[in-house]
Amino acid sequence: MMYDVCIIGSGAGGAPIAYELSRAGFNVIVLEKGPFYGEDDFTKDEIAVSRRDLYTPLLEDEQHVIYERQSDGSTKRYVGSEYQWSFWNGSMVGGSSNVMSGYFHRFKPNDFKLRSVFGAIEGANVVDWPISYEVLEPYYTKVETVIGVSGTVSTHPFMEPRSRAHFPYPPLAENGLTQWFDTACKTLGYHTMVTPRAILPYRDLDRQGCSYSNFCGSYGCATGAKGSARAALLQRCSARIVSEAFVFRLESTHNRVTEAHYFDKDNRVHKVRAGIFVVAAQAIESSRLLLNSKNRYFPKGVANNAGQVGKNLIFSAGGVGEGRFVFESLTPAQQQTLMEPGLFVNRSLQDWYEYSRKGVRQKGGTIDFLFEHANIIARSTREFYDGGTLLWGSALQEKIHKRLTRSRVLTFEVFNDWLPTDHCRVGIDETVRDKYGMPVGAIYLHAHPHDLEVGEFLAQKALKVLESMGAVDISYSISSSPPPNLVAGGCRFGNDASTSVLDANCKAHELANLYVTDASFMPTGGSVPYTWTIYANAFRVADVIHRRLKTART
Amino acid sequence: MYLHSRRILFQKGISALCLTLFSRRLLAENVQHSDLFTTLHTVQHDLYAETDTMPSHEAINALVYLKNVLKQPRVAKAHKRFIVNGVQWLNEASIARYKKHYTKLAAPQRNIVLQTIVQEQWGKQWIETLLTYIYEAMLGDPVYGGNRNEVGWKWLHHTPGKPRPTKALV
Ligand SMILES: Cc1cc2nc3c(=O)[nH]c(=O)nc-3n(C[C@H](O)[C@H](O)[C@H](O)COP(=O)(O)OP(=O)(O)OC[C@H]3O[C@@H](n4cnc5c(N)ncnc54)[C@H](O)[C@@H]3O)c2cc1C
Ligand code: SF4
Repeated sequence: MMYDVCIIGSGAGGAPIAYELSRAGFNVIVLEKGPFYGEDDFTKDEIAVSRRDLYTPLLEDEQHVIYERQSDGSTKRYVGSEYQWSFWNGSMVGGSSNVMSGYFHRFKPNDFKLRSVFGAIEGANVVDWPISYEVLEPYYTKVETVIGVSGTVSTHPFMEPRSRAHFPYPPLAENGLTQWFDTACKTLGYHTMVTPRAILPYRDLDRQGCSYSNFCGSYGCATGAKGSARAALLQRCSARIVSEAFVFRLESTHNRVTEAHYFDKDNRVHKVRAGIFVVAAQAIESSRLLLNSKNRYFPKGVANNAGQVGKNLIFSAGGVGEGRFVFESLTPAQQQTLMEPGLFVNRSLQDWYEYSRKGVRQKGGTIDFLFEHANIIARSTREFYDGGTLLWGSALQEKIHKRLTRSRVLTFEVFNDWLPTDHCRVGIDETVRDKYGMPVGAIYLHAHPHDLEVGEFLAQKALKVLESMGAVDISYSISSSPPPNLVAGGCRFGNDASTSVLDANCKAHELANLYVTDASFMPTGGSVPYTWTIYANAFRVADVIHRRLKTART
Repeated sequence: MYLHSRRILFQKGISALCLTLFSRRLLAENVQHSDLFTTLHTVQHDLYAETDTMPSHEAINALVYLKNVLKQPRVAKAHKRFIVNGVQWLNEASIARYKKHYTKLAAPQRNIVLQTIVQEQWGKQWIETLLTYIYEAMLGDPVYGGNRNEVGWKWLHHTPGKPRPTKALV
């Protein structure tokens, strides 16, 4: 059987292509290494989901080798399974979008032209994107209606232009603490933003509305309200989805991919032929697949004759912080408000998306505010220490009881650009193999010092809000350690085939029928979480492929 | 747990420590099965104090829970070995100080042994591991064998997320 399109990876990068092209009548197959879970399979089982990582592979079976660049320029090697260092996020139909929290932000127009607007930074490979915000804007809008984004359009100095005045869905219900937040920000002169969410507040699009389950991020959504690639797209289209299909190799001629080879769950090899191949296995694994697909035409891996595949891997820079609200300083009514489960905080600040430092224009970022995750085991185990002392017995039990029943933590997350550098990239580690016998991905890590400076600047602003709200035990950590779930780059798009892997349409420069549509394409990552942009870009590329297939048909 | 949290949860040092210990110390294969669980049971009682206002040991059911953990494929083999080896090292510390196995000591002496091993890196890590599984037993869904009648959740006024699991998945 010859398919029109074969998609590898069923997450936010792959599913829009499957949705659009199968609905347009093309023959589409999706190969996904993880299992197919539906709404009925998802429960709020903290042990399985959060503590035993049910949705990601066992590191003993599949892992990465991490090479961390040290301050003296040397590299330290970590074999993932030995250090329990995982870069997997969600291996299942719909990918990580099943377990995301759905905090959705668009990139800003200047995110598409960082180099021109902010200039070069020494040691960083900052470039402009080959497309502008205006090109992506209609697709951001499309995501709002097809995936379902709820919120209120907030006004602040860096609000991006929008073609539609309002979100198609009103904001989700909020915890009363948001009023304390808004008051504090008003006093400080900050512009509060209602964080847009990829969550339906009520039943629509053949999906139920949010049930405020209190366990959203890291958990699958049992109502379908969360705009996962599975609930919003794959379950609503006719593309053939093959789960538990691990693609280990792409076969090619000098300019066309001809077959995708995959192992099924019983380790049998299958080959899929298609006219067009779309790789969307999440940033690290997409580069790994291309690098592992060596042949006589591409001795360094498919699409890699220019040696660009895997380069300029990026993450979201920034970090986290928190403050605690304690009963002692609250009225009984406020205490009740604070402890109300399920309702969201949904507040962000983007007042410093750009700022000036010593008279020089700087790129800043986003701060999201949200309640500490409801996971009760995690909230208890974090109380084990008092300073550096490990507690146990009644001292520990009393501490846990007091902290969990008489206070609640508001956290913040800072997102700023992780500057692309030569030292942060994806390679292959030939000495370590996965359970299929394939060489595992090697992740070379390095954070540019500039990332920490910006993160620090933003964190200080967030701390002011917590202080002004009356929080205690305020702390934060801006870190150069990468969040594995916010990963992009490795197959940059660009106009120059010697410095990028993909062209402006996310087609490989070196092949006529290979596209990469997860976050690998991003040369820079903006200062927001990526998923809205991944979805939008994949819808854009779906249009490109659609036009191409239509032309070929006629 | 939302976006950035793995940054703080991740502790590179710990499993490296376990591995070094394994390479230079005997594996505890000679710990008898029954001794192993008797000791673990005693330590669990020493680490969690039963009171009138807190869930009982029986309701937490931490030993049964821990036995299950030792069988779970999603718990790394090295980590399981660390739990078992810790029993041997605990007994070594106990014999060095009191010339008796841990379970043969009186409660104040056992506490001194725990206070001694917590000064060592492995000991701190081992006690923390056992504590973690006590609290998992107490606060995980009852389908995993602990938290009987949801005592742990009631104690902390916790509303579990819905839908709840109907069977153990790991
Ligand atoms: C806990 C958590 C919370 C998050 N919260 C947010 C948030 O609030 N906002 C936000 O914008 N983003 C959030 N994210 C990030 C978001 O989930 C990702 O940006 C997005 O899902 C990435 O989409 P993707 O298509 O690139 O990758 P994925 O969704 O990971 O999809 C890739 C798919 O490819 C499959 N695959 C990999 N290799 C192969 C292979 N060789 N063969 C076949 N299949 C393969 C994988 O199993 C996976 O299903 C969160 C992520 C996590 C884990
Ligand atoms: S029901 Fe709402 S809160 Fe629960 S997982 Fe789905 S979107 Fe998140």
